[in-house]
Amino acid sequence: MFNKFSSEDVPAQNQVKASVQPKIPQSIAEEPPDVTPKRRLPWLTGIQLLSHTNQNQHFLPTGLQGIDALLGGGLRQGQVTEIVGPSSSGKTQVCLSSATHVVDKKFGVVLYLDTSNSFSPFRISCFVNQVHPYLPKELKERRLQTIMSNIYCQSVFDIFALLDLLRHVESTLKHSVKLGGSKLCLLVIDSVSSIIAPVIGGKNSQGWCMVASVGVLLKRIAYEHNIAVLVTNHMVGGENGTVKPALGESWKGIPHVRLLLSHSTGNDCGTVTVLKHTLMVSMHLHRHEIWFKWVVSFSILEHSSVLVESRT
Amino acid sequence: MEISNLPISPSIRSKLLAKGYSGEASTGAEISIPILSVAFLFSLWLCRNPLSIGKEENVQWFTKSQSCFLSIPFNRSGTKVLLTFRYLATSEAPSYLLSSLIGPPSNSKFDLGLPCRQILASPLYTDLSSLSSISPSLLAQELSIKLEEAMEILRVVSDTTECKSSHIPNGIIPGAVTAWDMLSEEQMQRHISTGCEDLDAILGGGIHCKEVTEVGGVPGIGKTQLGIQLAVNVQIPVEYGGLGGKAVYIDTEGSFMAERAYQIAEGCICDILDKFPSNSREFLSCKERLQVNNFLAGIFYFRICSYTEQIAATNYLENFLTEHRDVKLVIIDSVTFHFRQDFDDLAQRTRVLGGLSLKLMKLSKMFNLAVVLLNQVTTKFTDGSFQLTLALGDSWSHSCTNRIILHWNGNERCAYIEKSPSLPSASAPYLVTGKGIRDINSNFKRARTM
Repeated sequence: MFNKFSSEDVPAQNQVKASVQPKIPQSIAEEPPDVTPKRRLPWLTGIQLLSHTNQNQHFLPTGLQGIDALLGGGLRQGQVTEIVGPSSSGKTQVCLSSATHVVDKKFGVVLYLDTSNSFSPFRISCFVNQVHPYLPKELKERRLQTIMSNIYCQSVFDIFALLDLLRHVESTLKHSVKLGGSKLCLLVIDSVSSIIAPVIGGKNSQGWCMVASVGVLLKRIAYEHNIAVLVTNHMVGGENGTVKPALGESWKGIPHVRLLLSHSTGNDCGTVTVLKHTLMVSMHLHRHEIWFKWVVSFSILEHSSVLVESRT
Repeated sequence: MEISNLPISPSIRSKLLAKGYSGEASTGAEISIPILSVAFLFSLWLCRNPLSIGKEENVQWFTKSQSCFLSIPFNRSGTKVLLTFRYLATSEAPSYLLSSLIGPPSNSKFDLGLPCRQILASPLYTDLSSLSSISPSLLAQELSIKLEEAMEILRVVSDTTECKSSHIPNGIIPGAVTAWDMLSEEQMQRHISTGCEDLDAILGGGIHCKEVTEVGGVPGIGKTQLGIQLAVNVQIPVEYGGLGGKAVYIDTEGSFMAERAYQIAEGCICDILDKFPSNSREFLSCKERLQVNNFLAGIFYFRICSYTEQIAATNYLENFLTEHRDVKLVIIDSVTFHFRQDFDDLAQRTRVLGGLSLKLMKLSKMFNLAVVLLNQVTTKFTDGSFQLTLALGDSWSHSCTNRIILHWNGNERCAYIEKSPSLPSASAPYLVTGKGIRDINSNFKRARTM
């Protein structure tokens, strides 16, 4: 097999080498034509990243000034924000309020994934009327229709459906063309913990694998398509009677920002605390007292009057 | 997605199952040989055997978006054994269903003995869109399966990737409804009256359909009474202000009394008849139509004696409700009873209950009915004192849409809305009378508006 080398063979060998070697990087670089091109994200310098962040990643308003102030402006596009809280502390209200205000300020379309049938169109109409209280009736009706037609709601009841849905959203976003501002800008999942909790724990670790998939998918959708993702989580009991957010340590790293809502019984005062934030470097938790005025001002009269108006 | 759940033909399924994989997504990079070192080895090998490079088809590079095949025909003792290196860049295959249908996720470094042509001939499609443009005959040829099987695979693919159109309104996800459509639907919904007007007022008309309502309270406050009252009130015909539907009553404690249901049904009919002046035409027609026996016949009763039966009943409900489309209310009384004893592993209990509540949510949404869960109370040590809270823990609290707590306020029974997405927190008193749940002030008769 091996020829004895002589000085005449070397140029021949070199020739063969020279003819083959360029083909190797070429064949790595080129791809068969019938394949979707591999998306190579380019390397960015720090300055480029900063300018990209400042220009493209806007803050989406939640509608509640206190929470917006705490978040440094609102829900950041490209990041996953999580709201944790015990039962009936206002998590769904924050989600509904964010959806309304984001569409109202014309950032884009909102997709609301609902696991506990708590998406309430009536409540959204209340928020819309709060934002524009002084419009004449026909304008109000038209405004309501415009805003509510840009909020899409879908129910998910198990983790496989959620994974399918998120992948479908991702592929739709990859292939779709921006149609004059009607691009998805906020994805709300209320609540992600009720979908994930039945599959984690137990003897097999398949559930954790799916949790990791969900987390990676959410972060990828948020970053690559410049979308803000808002998820809610509930609390479970920890040791010594303390409460901690559900879904454990492995979910802790997935949201970029974590807010804790607590609601003291008896009065309408709620507290929002920042548990984790990418920009705030502090050892202590920030506590802000936020008056949930919109809970206080709700009344039955408003309920019936909104119904009458929307029917005409 | 399990292989057994995929809508593919049994022959393909058996082929795949015979190869020993069940279709779970392969996780993690199997080998972490960087491409460069493989290329280096390859170039070394090429230099050594310049003559045996031969034709292009012996050495083939397959690069698809996230994985790379390198197959080198390797002569060893006369038989060709293929070494297949495979490098998966990420664990994510959006079409894990496809990778299970087509490409084998191999766990071994060297794929010896697998049908070489199949590996060579099956580039790993990692994106559903890459399959959408392929013809069935080409697919059949590549995978060496029959043409019918290839057509079936493509049919499954096209079913799962519907509306790829760039039109945002239809294409975000199939099945998404806008809030505006939901608002108009919601306004046309009728609610199930509880019998007590104050309670109906704070509930926004009554118990909502498409939602899961949890009612909890101390023993003796009237939870079962409320359950039976709702089961009767849901059957009131549409002309008289009700839903005209039937009820499913799942009883775990054995507290349902048929005689009490008879009494409540009688009381309900009596109250409806009171609305019309006696001896008028409506009065007589109403009297004919509303018979107590019909009301009792409209309640489907299930008696559950253990938690496994409860889970089984919930699973069976879907079939039952498909057959009986006129059921508008499902009551479970009480959902806690069998889960508070016999469960050593609390984590498992949380998981099982979580799955149960998701199924009930799905049923209520799918069949447009109301689900009412009755719950018991327990004491919890919070903020330095013992307080009464609903049983089954913190994680159960997020598995219902609305939560109502029944409690004693002095000598009165009161209902308090603790959790709701659209109703403010309010409380209303009610009475449990011989006729059922009624207002506190029902001593004087009031003409009820429909």
